[in-house]
Amino acid sequence: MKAFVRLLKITAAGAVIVLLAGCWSATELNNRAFVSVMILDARNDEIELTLGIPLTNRLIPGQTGGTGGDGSQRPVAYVTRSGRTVEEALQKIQGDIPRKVAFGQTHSIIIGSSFAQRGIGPLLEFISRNPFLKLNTNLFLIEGTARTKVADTTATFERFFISVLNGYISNHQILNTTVKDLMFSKANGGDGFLPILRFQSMEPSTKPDMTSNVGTGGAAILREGKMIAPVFSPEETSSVRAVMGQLKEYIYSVPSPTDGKAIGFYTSSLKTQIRPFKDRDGLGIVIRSYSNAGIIASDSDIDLSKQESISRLEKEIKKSADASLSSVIVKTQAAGTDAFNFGRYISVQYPKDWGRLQGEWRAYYQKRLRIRVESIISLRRVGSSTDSFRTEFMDPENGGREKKGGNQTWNFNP
Amino acid sequence: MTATAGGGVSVRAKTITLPETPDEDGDCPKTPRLEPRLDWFKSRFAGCSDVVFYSFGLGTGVECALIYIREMFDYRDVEENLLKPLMAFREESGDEAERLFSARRMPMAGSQALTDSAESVNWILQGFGVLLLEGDLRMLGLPFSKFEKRAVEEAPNESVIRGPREAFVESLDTNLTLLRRRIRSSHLKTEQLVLGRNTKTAVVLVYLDHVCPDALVREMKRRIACIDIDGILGSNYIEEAIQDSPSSPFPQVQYTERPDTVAASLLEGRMGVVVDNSPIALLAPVNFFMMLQSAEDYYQPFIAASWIRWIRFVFLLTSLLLPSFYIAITTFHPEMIPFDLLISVSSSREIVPFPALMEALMMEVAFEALREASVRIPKSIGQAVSIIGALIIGTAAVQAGIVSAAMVIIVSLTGIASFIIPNFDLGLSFRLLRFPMMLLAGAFGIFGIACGMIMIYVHMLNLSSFGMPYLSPLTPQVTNALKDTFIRTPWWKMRKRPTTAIGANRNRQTGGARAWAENAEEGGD
Repeated sequence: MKAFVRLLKITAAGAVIVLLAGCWSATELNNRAFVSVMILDARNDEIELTLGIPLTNRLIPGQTGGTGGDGSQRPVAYVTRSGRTVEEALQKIQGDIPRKVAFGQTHSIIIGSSFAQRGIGPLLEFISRNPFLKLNTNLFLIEGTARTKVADTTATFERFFISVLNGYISNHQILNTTVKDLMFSKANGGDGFLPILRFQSMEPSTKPDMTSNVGTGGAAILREGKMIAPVFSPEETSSVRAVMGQLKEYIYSVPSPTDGKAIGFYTSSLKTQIRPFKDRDGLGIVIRSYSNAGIIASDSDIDLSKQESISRLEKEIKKSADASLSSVIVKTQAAGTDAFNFGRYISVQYPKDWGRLQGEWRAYYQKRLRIRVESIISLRRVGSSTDSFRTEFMDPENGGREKKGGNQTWNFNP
Repeated sequence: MTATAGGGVSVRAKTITLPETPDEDGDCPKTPRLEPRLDWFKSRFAGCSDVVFYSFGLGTGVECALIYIREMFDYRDVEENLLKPLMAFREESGDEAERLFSARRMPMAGSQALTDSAESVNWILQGFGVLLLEGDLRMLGLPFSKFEKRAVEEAPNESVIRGPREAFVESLDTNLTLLRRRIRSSHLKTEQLVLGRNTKTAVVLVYLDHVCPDALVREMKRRIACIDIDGILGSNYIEEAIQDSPSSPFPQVQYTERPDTVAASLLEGRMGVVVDNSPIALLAPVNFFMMLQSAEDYYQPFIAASWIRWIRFVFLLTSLLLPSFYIAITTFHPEMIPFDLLISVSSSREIVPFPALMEALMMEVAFEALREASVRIPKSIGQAVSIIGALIIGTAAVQAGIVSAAMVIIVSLTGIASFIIPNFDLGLSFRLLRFPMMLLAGAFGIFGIACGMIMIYVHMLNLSSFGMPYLSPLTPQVTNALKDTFIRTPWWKMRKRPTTAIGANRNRQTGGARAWAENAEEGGD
């Protein structure tokens, strides 16, 4: 009896605690519409909100895998409504679909360039007040009307378009800008980058009506939350990613210091260090980019067995890397946007100067901030061959295999 | 009303009193004549067709009667060794009685002269024989019972791979010999009590008097002394009476069918209760973690045993929480599921007409029913039913769109998990608690699960078994005992007994079991 009374008391206490929580929002899975991607366009003063919702009713077990290629049975629906604000458009969508819109699975937000040019402020405002939209949601930009481009595309390698974007992010193939990055930069005036998605036709002959396939493009820069010119090319975007420490692996080629022929490199474990400094001439930033390089291919006659030629190659890579990194920084300076958010480094290291400069930071960044780029390259792997394959095997006059191999000959026709 | 119980401590007893067994016949007539005494016994055993009254004359002409129960008394042996010599006895010395009652002169070890008639009746009921003799008040008790018992077999429910196979049987004496063969020490005490007014069941407390604390022995006796019942037909009758919090779903007395488990527990200073006619012995005190140990742990290599213990802990939580987590996450927190998994799960739920909670409850109840059925089903049709059951809970239900495939996986994993818990009673309690947890999860999501877990935890903290906190050695923490909780330390490192043993006798071994390895290093070069 005593135990019973105690159990009753505990239950009552538990019930009271439970009432405090107020989370009564049990919604079954098959009553939710999971927004996998959110697309924003601007048209005639209005915001066009498109939600990409996977249609789980078309993926019933037994036929899992979907039928992505068939236009009539695509496992994703794109629902578009427009309104003066994001929330107004959202309300219209919710009013029309029979399931509850759930944002918990939204990993990507795609912005059309028209919306981006008008400013991404309303979007950030919407996200910051929505508990289900995560700060690590990735942002992408599509030039033109994002809605139609996304809706028309086919995800060749994945079940869903959104999986393609997630793949780009998890494999570090694209400049990664999250909502959190823009929230930070909002405090700094709203400068930053947005990665661009490009659409191109991959299989025009087989699917004439399916026009395009998604791919990575360059990057757009934001100034005060608005997209401005210029747009960075994919190569420039790689440099941007290198400065931001996002570039993990990269393949490129550099002319040989001996004969100017191309030598292919890959760079791995790239690490970037950004240090502000101050001297008589004012503030500056040093960007040190450490990377390990390896040779993939060589057309040149450079002798890779010598330490001296390794150093010469390292210098050559450094020169090329410095130039490409500097060029993107100079471009942002010309555009007057601190898209790399160097201001944050200054504000931490030199808060007093920052306090003084904050108001006119863009002008200072544009005109006076000195930025030094130092690439530290170490060429770790030259491959198992020290000579070019061509010079070693295919060019007998240049010391080819017949000379080295004595009188051995290949005889395929006995 | 208070009654003074065995330990000398007064306890509140129920106000119900049992009527004394009426003894209409009174006592056996105090006469050396055979006839009236035999009549008394006959009236006492009237209607008992299995009682045999065998009258015969000795060689000298003295009338005798042997009373015994058929098939419980070793008649053949007695006939050979007692009756035949007696009938052939022709000396005129007239001291037949003296010869019979003198232990030295008859080849009958354990035979005893009885004078109390009630005791003689008890002897007969135990399967012994009683010999009445014309001209002598005394009766000769012949303790040679012989009845059918089950052979010692392999432990059916606590089987091991490397350990000993023997399990207790229903015969108390056999069980005690199983124990005595494992602990050949005079310190092993077996104190017998008789409980049950009608069944007169022998209950034996076993303990090692130099390891087991006196307080525990006293407490056990005090609790058992309070039992006054018409019959004890299994050890659970005693278990429920002596456990600290009977209304808790958690068992607070351990049970086992393995004599080696009892022996190991006795060596740790715990007490065993062996009940006649029950192949299950009780062990006390016990804590939660002891019930997650299996006898196998101590026979396997310690690394493997530790690893298997962790698996047990993981699946203990699985058995309690997996369906609740599934319900909570799918109905409240779908953002926790990775996108691709979510698509698979939600597309499999697409055709299911029930809410996840309903679905889970249906499946779990069906699974419990199937499990119960599999125990009750006659062996000959068991296989057919299990196939049907597997179909109901398996693919057919999914294909019919009644339940989702994900739920089938959850329910079967939970089912497997609940069998991993070595103690069946503990597994039962977790099986039971799973249902309130599912309701909490269905109503409040993970928050509900957290509340439920806190309630269970607080409840477990409040439990104790014969003074041992239920969650010790974790709470309160006993560092020394932790060596046999989450891991199983190698035997040569278990130098001390757990805190269940008397403080003065805590050392278990000298600690030099691996001294040879150190010596080899020293003497190597």
